[in-house]
Amino acid sequence: MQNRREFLKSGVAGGVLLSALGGPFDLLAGSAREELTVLHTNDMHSHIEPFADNDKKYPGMGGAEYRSAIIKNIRSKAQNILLLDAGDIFQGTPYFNFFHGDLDIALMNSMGYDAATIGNHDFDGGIDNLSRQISNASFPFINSNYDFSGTSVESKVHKHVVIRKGGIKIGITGCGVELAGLVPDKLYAGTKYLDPIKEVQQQVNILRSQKDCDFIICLSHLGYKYEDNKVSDIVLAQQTSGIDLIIGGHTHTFLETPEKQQNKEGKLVWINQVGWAGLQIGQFDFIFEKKSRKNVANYQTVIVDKKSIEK
Amino acid sequence: MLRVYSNFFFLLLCVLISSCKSFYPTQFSSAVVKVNKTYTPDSSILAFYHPYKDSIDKIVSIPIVVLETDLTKQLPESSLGNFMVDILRVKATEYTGDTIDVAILNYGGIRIPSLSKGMLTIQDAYLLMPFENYIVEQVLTGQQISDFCDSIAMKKGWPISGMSFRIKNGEAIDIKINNEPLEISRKYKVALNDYIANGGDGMTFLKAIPQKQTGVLFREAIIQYWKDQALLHLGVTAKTENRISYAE
Repeated sequence: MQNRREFLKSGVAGGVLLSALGGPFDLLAGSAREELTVLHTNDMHSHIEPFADNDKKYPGMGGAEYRSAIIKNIRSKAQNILLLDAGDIFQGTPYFNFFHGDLDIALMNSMGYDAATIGNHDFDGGIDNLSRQISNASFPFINSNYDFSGTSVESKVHKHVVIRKGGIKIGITGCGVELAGLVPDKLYAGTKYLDPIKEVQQQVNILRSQKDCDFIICLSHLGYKYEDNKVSDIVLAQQTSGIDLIIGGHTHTFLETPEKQQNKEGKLVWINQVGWAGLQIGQFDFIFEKKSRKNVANYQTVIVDKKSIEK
Repeated sequence: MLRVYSNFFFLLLCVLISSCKSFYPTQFSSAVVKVNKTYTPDSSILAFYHPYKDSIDKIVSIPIVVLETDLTKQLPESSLGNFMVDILRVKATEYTGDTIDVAILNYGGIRIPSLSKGMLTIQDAYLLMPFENYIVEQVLTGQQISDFCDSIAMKKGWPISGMSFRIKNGEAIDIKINNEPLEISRKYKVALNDYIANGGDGMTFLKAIPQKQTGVLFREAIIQYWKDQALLHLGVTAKTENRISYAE
């Protein structure tokens, strides 16, 4: 944690310096520099409690009470926080069999999640259960490529949302994996799967040009990558433009550091996924600076630090 | 006066220039925060879920039978996969009254990476098989089994019981049913969960084949098998035995 605190401290110093140089320009237009912390989980699969202490692979790891403690700790230090989930919240422990997701959603509400997308297992209690849980959530569910027309979920899921944190306008869209052959037909009840590349691009275009967002995140339950040409986060990153960050799920991939890809326009897109079962939380600390549009062609995100917090 | 105005216009210009600027991410650091017991747990979260935990624990903490060895999930064959699929074959034989030749499970249906030796509880059965999947029987021809095995080979192995084969160039060769070579024109009785029998996980060809329902959840069958063994004062275990291997 020491490294992180030092980084944040030096970051604050840098910000003061920048606004001093910016002089009256930036004093009038608000801060020229903002920080944004993105925290994310995926495939929590109803793992409310930590794994047993005698578990062979994950002894004593995970657990909602520890996840919440970490999130609260980060909230006490950083101002602008986005807490996101990339789907498969449900199914995997008796908590889902007995309570059908009530507890999972209540805990996410109390931890202050800002948004989530829908995973294939979130249909496991049937579409009406999904609909009920979306209503229980105090945060929006976001998906652009499932057509829920004629189901109880219709009009409850957002194709995108815009969230303001500090001076930054963040646009979030989402997408999910093909349901046919993966989820029993009767559970998704005629929900239509649409091409995620096309649907996500459409939402990103709206978020960029109409909603004027500074930063675009896609919550994806497509899966990190596949050996065949099945659409994945890698494919999504390469075949779209305008996305800054893909928060992924489905393949339970433990990425040590975020993966970068070039999008259709040659710009960088970052992809991350943090395994499953609430064993880890992904954390990005972004620094945003005000730049005029003509400088943007040369803009590339610089990673200032890569690390894994092991306690 | 002029000076005041020029200051004003200067400031106005500043506002206009600034408004042409937007926020761009210029740098970031990233971290993976491991969730573990070195943190002080959030007592409000614990207090919130404890009533739920207590009501479940009454049911799922009941000890059933001793697992004698650690089991793990692996490709192309694993002890944990064999453990589950052997129970499927035994219990499907009992529930259908038929002699089940082969049982097959999807690899993705094993929901935990390992099971540690010691006392198994109902909780373990839920972790192994959280889905509400029922046991069904389908009668397949030798040719259909051969195609099924090719699909399994493409997926680098699924848990199978009563059968063995080798994988060569992504295809199944030397398929044996109960140690006898597969006969293409013979019919075989196959036990599956209804998720696969309904064409799940890419096995769409199974959709058209009639099913004999048992009405028993696979999870209930697992619990029942464990209880059966405990009544006989036996433990449970499984091992790998080259049911699926790669041809050199």
